Amino acid sequence: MKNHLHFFVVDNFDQDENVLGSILTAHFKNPQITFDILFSNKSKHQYDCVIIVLPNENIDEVLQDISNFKKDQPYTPIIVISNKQDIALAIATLKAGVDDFLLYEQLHQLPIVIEKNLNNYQLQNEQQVLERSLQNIAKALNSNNRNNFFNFCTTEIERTIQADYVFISLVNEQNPQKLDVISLANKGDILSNFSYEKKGSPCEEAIAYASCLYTRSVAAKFKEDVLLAEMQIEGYVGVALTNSSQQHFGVLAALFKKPIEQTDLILNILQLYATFIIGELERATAEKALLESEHNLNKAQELAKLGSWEFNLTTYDLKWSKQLFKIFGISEETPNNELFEAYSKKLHPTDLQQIHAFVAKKENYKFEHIIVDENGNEKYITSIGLFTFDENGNAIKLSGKAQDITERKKIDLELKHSEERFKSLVHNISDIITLLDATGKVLYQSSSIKQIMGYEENDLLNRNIFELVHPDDVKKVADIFYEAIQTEGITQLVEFRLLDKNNKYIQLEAQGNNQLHNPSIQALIVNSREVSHRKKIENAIITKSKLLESIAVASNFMLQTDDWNVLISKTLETVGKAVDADRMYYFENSVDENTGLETTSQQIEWTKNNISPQINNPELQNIPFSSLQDFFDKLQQNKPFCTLVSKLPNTSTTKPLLESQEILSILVLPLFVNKQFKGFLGFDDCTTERIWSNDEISILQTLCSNLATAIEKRQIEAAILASNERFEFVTQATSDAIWDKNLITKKTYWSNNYEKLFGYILTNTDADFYNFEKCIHPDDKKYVHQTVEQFFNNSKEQKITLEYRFKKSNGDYAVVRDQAIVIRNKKGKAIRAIGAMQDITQKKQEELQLKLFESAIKNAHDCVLITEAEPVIGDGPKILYVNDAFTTLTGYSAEEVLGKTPRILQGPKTDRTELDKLRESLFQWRPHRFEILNYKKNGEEFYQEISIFPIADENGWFTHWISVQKNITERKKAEIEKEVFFDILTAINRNKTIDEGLEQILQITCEYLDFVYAEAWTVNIDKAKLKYRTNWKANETAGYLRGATSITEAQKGDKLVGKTWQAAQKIYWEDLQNSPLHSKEYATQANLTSGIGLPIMFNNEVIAVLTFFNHQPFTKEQINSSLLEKINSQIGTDIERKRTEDELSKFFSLSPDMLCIVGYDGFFKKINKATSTILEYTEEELLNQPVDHFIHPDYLLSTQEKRNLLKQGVPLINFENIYVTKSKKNKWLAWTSIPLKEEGIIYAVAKDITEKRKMDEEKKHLIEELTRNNTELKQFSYITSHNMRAPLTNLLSIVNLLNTDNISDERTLKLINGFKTSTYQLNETLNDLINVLIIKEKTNYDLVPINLKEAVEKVISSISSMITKADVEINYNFDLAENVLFSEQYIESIFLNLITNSIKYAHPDRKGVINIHSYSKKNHVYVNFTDNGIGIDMNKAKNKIFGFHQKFHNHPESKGIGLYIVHAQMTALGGEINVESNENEGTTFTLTFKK
Amino acid sequence: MLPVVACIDDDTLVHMLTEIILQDTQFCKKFIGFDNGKLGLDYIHHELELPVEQQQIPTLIFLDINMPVVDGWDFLDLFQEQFSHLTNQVKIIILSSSVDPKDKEKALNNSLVLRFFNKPLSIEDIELLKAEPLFSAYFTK
Repeated sequence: MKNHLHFFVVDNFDQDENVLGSILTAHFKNPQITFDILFSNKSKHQYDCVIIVLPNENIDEVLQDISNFKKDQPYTPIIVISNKQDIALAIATLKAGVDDFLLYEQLHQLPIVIEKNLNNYQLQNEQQVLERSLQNIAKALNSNNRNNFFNFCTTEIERTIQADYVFISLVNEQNPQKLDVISLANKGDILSNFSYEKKGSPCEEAIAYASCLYTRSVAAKFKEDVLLAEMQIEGYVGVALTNSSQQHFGVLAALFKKPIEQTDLILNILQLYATFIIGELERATAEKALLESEHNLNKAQELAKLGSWEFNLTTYDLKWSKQLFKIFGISEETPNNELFEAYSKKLHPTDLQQIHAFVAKKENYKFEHIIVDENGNEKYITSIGLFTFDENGNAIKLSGKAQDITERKKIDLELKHSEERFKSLVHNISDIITLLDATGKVLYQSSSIKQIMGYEENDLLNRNIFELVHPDDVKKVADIFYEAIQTEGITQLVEFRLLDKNNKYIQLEAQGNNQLHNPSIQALIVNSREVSHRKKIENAIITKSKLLESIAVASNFMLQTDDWNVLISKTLETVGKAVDADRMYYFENSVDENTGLETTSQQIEWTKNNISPQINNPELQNIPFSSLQDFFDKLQQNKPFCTLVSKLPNTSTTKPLLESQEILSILVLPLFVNKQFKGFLGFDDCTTERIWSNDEISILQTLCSNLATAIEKRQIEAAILASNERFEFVTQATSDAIWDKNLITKKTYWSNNYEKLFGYILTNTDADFYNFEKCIHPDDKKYVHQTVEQFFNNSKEQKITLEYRFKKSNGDYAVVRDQAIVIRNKKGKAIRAIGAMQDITQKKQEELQLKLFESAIKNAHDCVLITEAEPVIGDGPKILYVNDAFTTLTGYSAEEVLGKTPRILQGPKTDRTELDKLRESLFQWRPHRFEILNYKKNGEEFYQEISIFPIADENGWFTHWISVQKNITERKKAEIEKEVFFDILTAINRNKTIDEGLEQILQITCEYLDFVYAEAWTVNIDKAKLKYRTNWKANETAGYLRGATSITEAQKGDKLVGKTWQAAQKIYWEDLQNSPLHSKEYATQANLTSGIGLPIMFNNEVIAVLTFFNHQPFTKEQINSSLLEKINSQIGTDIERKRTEDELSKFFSLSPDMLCIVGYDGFFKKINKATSTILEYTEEELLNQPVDHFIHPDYLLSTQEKRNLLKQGVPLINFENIYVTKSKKNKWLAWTSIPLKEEGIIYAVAKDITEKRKMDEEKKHLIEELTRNNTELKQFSYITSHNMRAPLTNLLSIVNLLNTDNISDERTLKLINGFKTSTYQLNETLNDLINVLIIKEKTNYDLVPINLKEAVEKVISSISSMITKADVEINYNFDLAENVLFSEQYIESIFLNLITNSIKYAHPDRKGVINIHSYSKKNHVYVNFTDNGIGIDMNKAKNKIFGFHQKFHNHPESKGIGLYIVHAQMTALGGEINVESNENEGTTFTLTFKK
Repeated sequence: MLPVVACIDDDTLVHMLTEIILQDTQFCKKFIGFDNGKLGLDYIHHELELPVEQQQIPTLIFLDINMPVVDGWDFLDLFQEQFSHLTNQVKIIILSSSVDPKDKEKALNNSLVLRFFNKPLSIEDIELLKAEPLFSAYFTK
């Protein structure tokens, strides 16, 4: 069970989150829970378990989602929780793929249900993974690409278990402490060929304990293994690669950067793969060994001139070893069935007869015969024939050997000849003549003895010769001596050893002549010759031939017997005897599994009679290499150890051991199998000190290598046995029908799939093969046979693929693909074929369809390219197919690109980042679409839009990439041109000035169209001439006009620019230097040949002209470039705007007001010069500090408030605040700002109003003072009037109370009356003044609706007596406007004033009539008040009518204050009064009231 | 005739003129003049301490506004405060030379004040008072 589970909970009720969450959290360790109320959107994610709380509605939708999800992720359990006990619903959910259905009340069981399902799926999942792995391995093993098997394994494991690294490392043969990595997979990459120390690595542990597993923190545990820490490895799983004989090859391990989960699965997979990796390793070793051993055997046979053969007596199949062909001088190409005939021809008829006789009698034979080879040379041959019998005693096989012994025969012959020669020589030259008496006493000695024996003539006289004869030879010599003296004549020749003067025995040959009876001699005449030299040669030849023979015999054993011990024993005996050694023995090495100690032990020994055997000597068992250093040093280097024991230095540790066995001389030869030291053969001499000749040693070494071959053979057979088992396994794993046919015996093996595929029951294999032949469709038979025959005869071919129709047991024909590999013998003859038959009927149909597709692809307009699936790294996967469109587009033929990679199309400008992205997609097997620049064969660039997608086989493994490539060069060019044009457009706007913009346009255009020089001219504002603005040149050396001319203006029609202006269209001059309108000298000087004038249009007028030049005539593409067209027609607006901007920017820079752009972030973005002038800061200082920094602290808050309002879109108008300048002066600024919300900026204009502000300040002071003065004055007049009133009222009271009736004095009476009048006048004047004051003072009146009619009537009634008295007629009509909003008091006062006025100024000649009426108009109510009085001279009165104390009449009652009050009252309440009057006609007052 | 009428004014000439008019119009039996509001209040305090039958509390007071010590407005407040039980019994006429309409408004808003007369006090004013329902009983013909 994984540690961290990820649940996806779809909660359609939404309120169960906490309940479900707490249940899950309580049970599982750190579960990750994703809640959602929707299901379908989340199904892509990988969850461990999905829990769905069913909704009450839309169940069908949920079920649909569930079944979709299940299709996508079948191994993710889904558990449904419902609050409805509804069986139909439960069934429906389960049908949709739900794994469990829980009722809401069973919620507590949820964790158990989850665990159950997770376990189920985990098991299923693991089995699936294992099965699939097995299939893949089988596939890999079946494929011929064995070399990559290890890489395949690591990559597959890495992919399957999602490890970060998977590698196979093997124990180094030379240094077992090192591990060599032979394959390491990391993210699809394969690395190999590096080594690391075994010690201290987890691999050491894995090898020691068969496997090793650390789920986390492995790097911390194995500190010595720095690689782990470097690679940040957390988890480690390793499995030892150990074969059945417990030999450790190495380890298969996986590394994880995250802690490991699912440890069981990973271990299982590793172990599964490990089994196959071991098999593969063993097989590789065995195959190598087999090759070597065959080689060695051949070599040995070659050396011994020994050939072997085998004759199958049932099949008459004859098999010859390579050497045999040589011996008989028969071509190796000879077919098997002709071999015997060829051989027979070589034999003498008698010999052949003899052989036939042996064969007929089924009797083993050995005989020597002579053949004559093709060159006419005689060859001596020893032939041996051995029969093999079956259990019934029938001979089934005759095997034999033939040895070319010509050489040996030659030696023998040579020997014979030399002996004869020698003898004749001796006879003639150097015989020693000795005369002996009958007792052996020397009577005479010839002087020639000195030469040979060193004696003087007389030294031996009278001595008995037997004293000098070697004791061993005495008997022999004596026998012949006595025989000689008893018979007359010449005796037998005898050889013996005789002691010379230096006490050394000399080998002599002697012959006697009995002349005892001859009276003249009476002695035995002995002729002696020295024979040692001849003897030595003879011995050597004999030994060598004996040796060769013995080795041939021993090799023969090796072929005959499988029993190792018998083989060795026989070999030791044969060879030991042949070399006349005292002992011969075989030692075998072994390695102690626990200690690693290398030892050797004697296994088998042969000894001569009388020599003590050492086979039971305990000292010769388990001898550690280290104890006999000098001895093993030699052997381990594959060198013989050959010495006289006496010659060994006393320091030698070997010496005592040899001496203890009484060895005098020793020869030991090592046995190496697969370059490994396995043991040795030894020869002891205990009686004589033998010196081994190099010839002997080298011959014996051959024996050793033959033995080694035999050992290897033994091992290989075991390995092959194992590999056959695996083969079996593989045949079971694959769906193909695997067959294995021995082409010699015709025996065929069929795998079980044959039955499965074709429905046949297998019984007798041979019969089945016959059956097989019959099953081939009659029409295909010929094809099959011919193809197979051709294939077998072509010794180079190893693999064949056939497709034919094959009859199934039900009579149908299946299309099968039969793929076979053939195993050939040395001559290239096919001896065994192994194949796999696949039913490809369906595939065939698909192929047909594919062909259709292919032709569609082939003829497609877009390029189609198919590559292998891998490798993604390096040059990329190889191309398998390209269609015709590809060739047409790129110029590469299919043959040129097949087997190459798409990299062939890439070039210097190809976008690497696009390729990196592509590779990323390839890694993830993800379809990818991209655009890229590639190169045709001829180097031309072109743009492609490439879509690639991976193709999977039926198992879901990606096998190919298909890439569809659209040529988008035209589109891309247009896009690029668009980009270039965009650059041109932005160039105008990017640059500060129009000149900079124009220069950039020139540069972009020139670079794009390959012009070397260009100029820009603009039409002046007055449109009178062109003005030079700027130029651009490709390089300093390029000629350019500006270098030659300083002309800055051009008229219409003047040169190319002027001409272009005039023409208002593009002009091309191919030969500038000869154009009459161009300054020839300039063009020549600048080395410019051609030019284009390009007008820039705005509103159908030329506003600028660009000229482009080149050293050579322009190409059509350059002249007709659509870019030029665009420049001509489309950038005028921008240039014009830029020009306007330039002008505006002058406004900006020259304005005395501050113009700023402020960002919403509170910083100035742009300011004009005035800003820095006013604030005294540099532009930089202003831009780098927040605006607030410059604002006076007292105004910061209000400014920020305003700014916030601005940001909400409220424009700011004339907001005044104070900024502090750098010199700490306060500046009053009046701001008007507009926000640009979408750009987040504020445009602001500020006027420096410090001066105005100062004046305002002063004005304000003045006004305040005035107001104060005014108030004081008002107060003054108020108090004055009031204080005057108090005594005045007293005066009035007194005047009223005065009774003048009692005054008789006329004068007093007059004075009192005058006093009275003055008092009344004073009172009236004062009252008028006070009234005015009151009206002026009072500003807030409550306006009430007033009925005009009532008001007028009230006034009339109050002065009715006065009206009656004056006899004035008052008419009034207020129907049109009945009411006004006014003060009741004032309106009465106004009417009173006006009526009394009219009465006062009534015309003396007519009856006074007053007409009052009202009307309403718009927002006003008007009251007309007309009288027919004396009127006012308006010319005189002018604007003074309502003035204070203005009198227009010389009327006694006129004080000039009434109209002033009326006016004051009207205006105080927002009304108006106007007057029209004609003198003597009357006056009309118009009162205007606000509604 | 009203039994007692008082006049509170810092101008003694006003006392005299008022008394003459009251005599001429036979408006009251007794006239008392005070130079300021304090004296008026002191008098009433003094009278209240007397036995009821001897008390001579004015039925009507002519009160000026601008006065030293206790002005007309203060007097109204103090009177209300000190003699709340007398408010039905004593009525006050503001007799002022002020022409400020605010003064008139303020005066008429006070429940103690019966009328506002501009100086000088005229016979017509007295005739109005005699016609007042409050006093008409005193002037049976």
